[in-house]
Amino acid sequence: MSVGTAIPVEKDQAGSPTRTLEGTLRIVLTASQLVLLALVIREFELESRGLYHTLLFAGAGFVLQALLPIRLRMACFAAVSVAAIFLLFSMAGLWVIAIGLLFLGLGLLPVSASLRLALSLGLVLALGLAREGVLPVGMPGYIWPVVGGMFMFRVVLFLYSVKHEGPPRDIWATLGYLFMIPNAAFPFFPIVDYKTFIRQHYDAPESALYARGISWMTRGVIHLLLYRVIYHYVVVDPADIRGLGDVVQYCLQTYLLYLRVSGQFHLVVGLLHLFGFRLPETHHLYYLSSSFTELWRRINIYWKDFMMKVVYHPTFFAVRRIGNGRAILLSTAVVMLLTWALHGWQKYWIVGGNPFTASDSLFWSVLGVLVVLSAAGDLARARKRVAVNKGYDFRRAVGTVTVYLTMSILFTLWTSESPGSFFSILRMGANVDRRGILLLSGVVGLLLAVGGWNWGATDLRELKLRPLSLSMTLRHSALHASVLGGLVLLAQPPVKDALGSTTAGVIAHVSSSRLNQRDENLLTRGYYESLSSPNRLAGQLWEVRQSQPADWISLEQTTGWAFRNDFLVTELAPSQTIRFKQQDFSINSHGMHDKEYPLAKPPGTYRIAILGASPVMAPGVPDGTDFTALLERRLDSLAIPLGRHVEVLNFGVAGYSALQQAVQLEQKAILFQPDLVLLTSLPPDLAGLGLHFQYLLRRGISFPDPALRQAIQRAGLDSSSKSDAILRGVAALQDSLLGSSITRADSTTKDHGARAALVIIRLPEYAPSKERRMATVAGELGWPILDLSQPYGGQPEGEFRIADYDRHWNQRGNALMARALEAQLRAFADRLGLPPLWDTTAVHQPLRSGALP
Amino acid sequence: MDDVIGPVRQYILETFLKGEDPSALRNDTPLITGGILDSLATLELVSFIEQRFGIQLEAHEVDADRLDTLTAIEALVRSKSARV
Repeated sequence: MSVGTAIPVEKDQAGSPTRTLEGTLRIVLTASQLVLLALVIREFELESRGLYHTLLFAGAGFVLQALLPIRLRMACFAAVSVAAIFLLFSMAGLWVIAIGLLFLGLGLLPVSASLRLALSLGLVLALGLAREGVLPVGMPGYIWPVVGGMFMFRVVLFLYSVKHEGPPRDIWATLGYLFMIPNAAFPFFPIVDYKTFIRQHYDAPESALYARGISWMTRGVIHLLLYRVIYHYVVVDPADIRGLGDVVQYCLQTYLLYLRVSGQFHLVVGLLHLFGFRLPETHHLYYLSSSFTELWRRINIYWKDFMMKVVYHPTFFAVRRIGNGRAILLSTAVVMLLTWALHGWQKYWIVGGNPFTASDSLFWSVLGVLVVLSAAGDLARARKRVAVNKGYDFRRAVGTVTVYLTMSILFTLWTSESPGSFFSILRMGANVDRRGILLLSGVVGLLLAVGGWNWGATDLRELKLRPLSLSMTLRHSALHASVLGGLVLLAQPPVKDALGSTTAGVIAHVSSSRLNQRDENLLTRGYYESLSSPNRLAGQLWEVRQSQPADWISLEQTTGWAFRNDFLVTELAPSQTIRFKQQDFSINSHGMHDKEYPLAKPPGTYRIAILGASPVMAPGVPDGTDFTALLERRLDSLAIPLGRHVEVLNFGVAGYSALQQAVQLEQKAILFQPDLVLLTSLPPDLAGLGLHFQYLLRRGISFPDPALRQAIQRAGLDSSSKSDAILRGVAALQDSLLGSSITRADSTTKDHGARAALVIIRLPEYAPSKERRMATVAGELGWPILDLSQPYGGQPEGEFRIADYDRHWNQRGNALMARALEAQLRAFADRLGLPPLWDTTAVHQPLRSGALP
Repeated sequence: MDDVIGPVRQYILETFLKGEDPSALRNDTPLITGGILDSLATLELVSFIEQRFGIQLEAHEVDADRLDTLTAIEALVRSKSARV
């Protein structure tokens, strides 16, 4: 049987396009719902901005193809798909098109199937070398995930089809398949079967196809919104896990976050329905699977179908002489083994780097064994059709609980930094608490209640898509339009405000693509650099990082960074100018991102030393425009008429914790004879401490303080400890660590006759933290607290950051901080012993953003 | 060749659709894409077809294109039988 031959057209089903008023009305209704879907995606910032544009473009393409005769629709789909690539990537899209055409050309060569396969593998190898930079092709880095998402499995199915069914007769269908919209907006894309894609094009009534497409897309949006709620309100940082309740919550959320994948896939396949492709569901009630084989059939169904086609059936037919039962088990085992390998393959093309981790291997090994055992159980039992609901079945409910809890634990393993981290998280469950018992009981009870019913049951007569009458279409459209329209309304400020601050806050979180607190820490502080597991294919953090330019590297990757073999661990390498975050970044002879200062304070000069992490170090702005330099110019201009000078010295070093600030003050900053010492806190302060201790332990640097050394030993931390275990250990000690930091800095400043204050800062769009541990200790010691955590005055905070992928202050942000800090210094001038720089009779000007005078 | 659809329908009803109304299983009821036949059931059906009609199927022929409906199964069996 040949693929791409005649499209099966039934007069009462797919027939020629309806040019009646009724047909036109259906197109208008569908297009309107698609626009509403796009608006929901825009208002809730779902996925990328590219998805919104792609959907609008697809909407226009949908109307165009729906008005065309059926024989022209496949060509229209191919053209719309190719155009969408250029819409998103401009001329860089030519790379995608060229690579796709190369694969297509190789697949159509009139040579043996083996040679076609070998040539295609050669092309893959060449692309791999190019991805690794061995072959300098000059392709933009952001194209690789798209290339991987489009071709690395689709080409396999194309070659398979050409081998067994012959070359395609409809080249438009093949082009549409290879460049399928909306793949450019979703690198992680369902593996659509080539033969199904072509065979089931408009083989069902348009009215039913369009209605199902909108339904599935709406379902996809709801999955993505649920994912958002979980991402912001359920996700627990591994470092915060203390007892059974946290462990249960953590395990449950790792599995629930999979909702994002099912949401994306529903959107994709729903959109393809609007272009006439009657494709199967990609996911089907997978959280309610009652066995591991059922889960395998319900979660990522396209992956299962792909593996059945290219691995399971060929293996089974090759070995079935050993008996059907044994052949089935052997084939299942081979499928699971190759699923592990191919997931690694997929991750490599989308994420890059080494995709195989110990956690990943263990996850697939355990899941593979469970699926094979479950298949053996299926074979041993007389199986019944599951599509009929025969009422509540307690055994089924128990199966659902078992599968759900097991998968939650396995997903936790999969997304853990290492098996060791995974087990350390589970061990925390030994601290049984009331919350844990209640949470676990609630989940088990809920699953027992709902899992005993066969929710996927359908009537045999309903399995085939039937045409929808106009009244049914109108009812369907009204339902979806009201849901989607309601969501759009919910995101509007007047509606949000009318619902009260709590509800408005929740909607604001759910309707924003901002990272949650944990990922913000990862992005800004780089704590989890090694923890950003490639298993997190759906991670928002990964996407943000993907958008960074190639030269947007960490300081550690530059010559401006140096390791020390003492408690400070790191410092800025002195006397050089490097290129960092696309700006010149000058480091003076004392290892400060600042101009040169003599150690001895000039007479008549008031010196302020500011210590802190990267926000103080101020990357990504031209030299001399960070807030410390701006503040110095401002204060000095006020001091000069009084015959005095003010200097503001920047001792900021990326990643510096409170402890490092205290030690840096003793070893370096105090030598500059400051009159005022400003330590900074970027709450929560745990991340900085965690990074510091990770470096200390990994580099085998001893702890100078015996009490601290003992505390670290008691916490079981050593050089082999994993990042999240270190963070948990440090979290338990953080009160004493922060306390000793401030106390130590306090005694240093007092010993040298200086004053001290604590500055609390918050980077743009960084979730406000209520944690004030450092401030509490500093306050008890009588330090003024200069709170700069709310400097933005209601202005869009995004305007003050360097880039979408970097929250450090840009020039406007630095200028704003300079003004804010000046205002705080003025407010505490007496306590800080500042010279009388300001006219105290003048009316205080409200803070405004913008350059300082 | 004898009736193909009849024995296959009977086999599916007895093996996978116990208790189902036989009239609900029509010649165009989607068996694989409709979720009636999972992977194991599909292989069991393949074994039945091979034994009942004396034909040999190949791995790439086990797909929804050829086995999704009773009508498609009949076409497959007749096509393979003609080649024997």
